[in-house]
Amino acid sequence: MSDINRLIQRWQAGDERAAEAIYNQYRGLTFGLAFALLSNSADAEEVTQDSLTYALTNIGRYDAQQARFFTWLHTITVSRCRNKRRRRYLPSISLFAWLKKGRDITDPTPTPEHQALDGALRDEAWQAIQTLKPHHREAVVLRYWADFTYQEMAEILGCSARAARSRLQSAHKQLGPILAQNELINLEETIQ
Amino acid sequence: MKQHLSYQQLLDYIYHALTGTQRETLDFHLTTCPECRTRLAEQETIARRMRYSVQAVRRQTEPPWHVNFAAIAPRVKRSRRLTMFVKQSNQVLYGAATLVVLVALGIGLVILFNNFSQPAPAPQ
Repeated sequence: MSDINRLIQRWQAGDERAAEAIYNQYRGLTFGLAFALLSNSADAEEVTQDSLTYALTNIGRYDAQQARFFTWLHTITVSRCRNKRRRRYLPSISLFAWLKKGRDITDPTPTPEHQALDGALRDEAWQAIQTLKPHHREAVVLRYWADFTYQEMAEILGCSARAARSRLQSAHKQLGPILAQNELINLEETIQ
Repeated sequence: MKQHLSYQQLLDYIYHALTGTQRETLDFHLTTCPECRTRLAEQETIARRMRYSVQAVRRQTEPPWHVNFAAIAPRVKRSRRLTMFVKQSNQVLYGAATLVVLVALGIGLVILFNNFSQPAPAPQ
């Protein structure tokens, strides 16, 4: 039995230290995936906490026979990212936060920490990936994030393996001319 | 295989989504077709760049310090305790329900036994 399955069993039996160990093991990975899908660190933070809270509180629903914990957590994270993307255009603040702040809602501009992270990735290929449609981008990120197979991608994305394959191929087709062109420019610059 | 490889076949080749036989057939074609080799190399470059880019994000992104377990612990623990309570309550309820069914069954059997053991009234 793997370490994570042992931790899950301990948490299912009520050991709270196991929950913290699971959280710490997947915190970075979940944040990274959310950031890769949303390109916004503040949103990624929220999705990370939300996904891990859901996974830990609903650990009883996880079935090790059906999927790896890693895959299950990715399914939750991708779903939360989709919800976040849908709500992005409707900025909201919770009533509790509003009351707590004495009705002094702070400026929503990102903190320097967030700006640094959001601006850290200026890679051309990454910029190109961000121009993709959300479901194509999900396919590309999942494929190159953890080398998921078409079947695993399908489980996470909630579609058929054929659809997952088709999404990845569409993304590849779309990015092909951009990346191939940039590759030529980079080569020319190197030669000069 | 005389025809050139399709775009889909090239991508399946890169993504290792082919069976052994299919891969062998494609390998054979690639040894004899320089054009398909060039196209495959192009697609491999694109895939490599995408992989590099996504992996760079994975390496570079680190959650801020305030994204920690302490922030969600009360919610997680409360929910877990509630789940355990519901589970235990359910067990008690199932036990009680089973007991009620058994008692009812016992009473039913006693009544049935009494009815059979009483002598039938004599015809007048």
